Amino acid sequence: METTSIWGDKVLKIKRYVISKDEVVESMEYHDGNRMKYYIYSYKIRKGRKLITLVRLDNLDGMEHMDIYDETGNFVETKEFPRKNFNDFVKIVKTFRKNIIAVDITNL
Amino acid sequence: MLFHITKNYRKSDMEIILRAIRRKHGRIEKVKKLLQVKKCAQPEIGEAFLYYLASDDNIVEEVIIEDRKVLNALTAKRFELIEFLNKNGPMPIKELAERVGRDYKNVYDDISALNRYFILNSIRYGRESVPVGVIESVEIKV
Repeated sequence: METTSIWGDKVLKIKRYVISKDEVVESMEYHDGNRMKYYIYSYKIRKGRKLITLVRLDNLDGMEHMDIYDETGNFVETKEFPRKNFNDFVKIVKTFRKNIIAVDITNL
Repeated sequence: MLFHITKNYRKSDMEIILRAIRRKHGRIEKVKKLLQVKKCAQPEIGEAFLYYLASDDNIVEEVIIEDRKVLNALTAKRFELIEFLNKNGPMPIKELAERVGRDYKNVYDDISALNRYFILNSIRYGRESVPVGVIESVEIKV
């Protein structure tokens, strides 16, 4: 069976924690050797055929922050937010579920 | 009860993912530019960037499902489809239905049910929907 490459130093690790068929917490981590270079952690809900991001933590621009979107997927605001462990992010999401956009989770 | 699924992606899977990203967002240079100006407004741009970045590297995926209703989505016929795709590589649902000798609508419904729980990921490309990825293991933890 063909594979994308032999195991090298660089790897994209995707993890999906499916709370229900309409809610998923998703992690994408790009690792270069032992270092995690980029990450995106998102909480998405399903609306019809589309998956809409409600909350997202990432460091793609070199700054750890949180983006918040409304239930139609429109961007609402960005806040400073130091990286959480993905499992901690899952716990936060499971506590607040769809109310998460109304709660200030930056102090948690 | 937790369902734990592990997957990897072949070159042929990655080609389909990247082809869809190129069609939707353009080549990597354009995605990098969009990332600077529209990163927050379009969250899928960041995901496209990571797929581009990893196009020559390994991609591994874990899916953890805590909704026990997923049991309803796991039928013998659907596992047959998973095994067929694992063995034969990604293909549009229409071709898959022809090759397994089943009705298109039933195969489409089966793939949709597996997509709903992220057991399979289907990539939309124009009118086609192509399930991608190799499912290596499905475990149930009680």
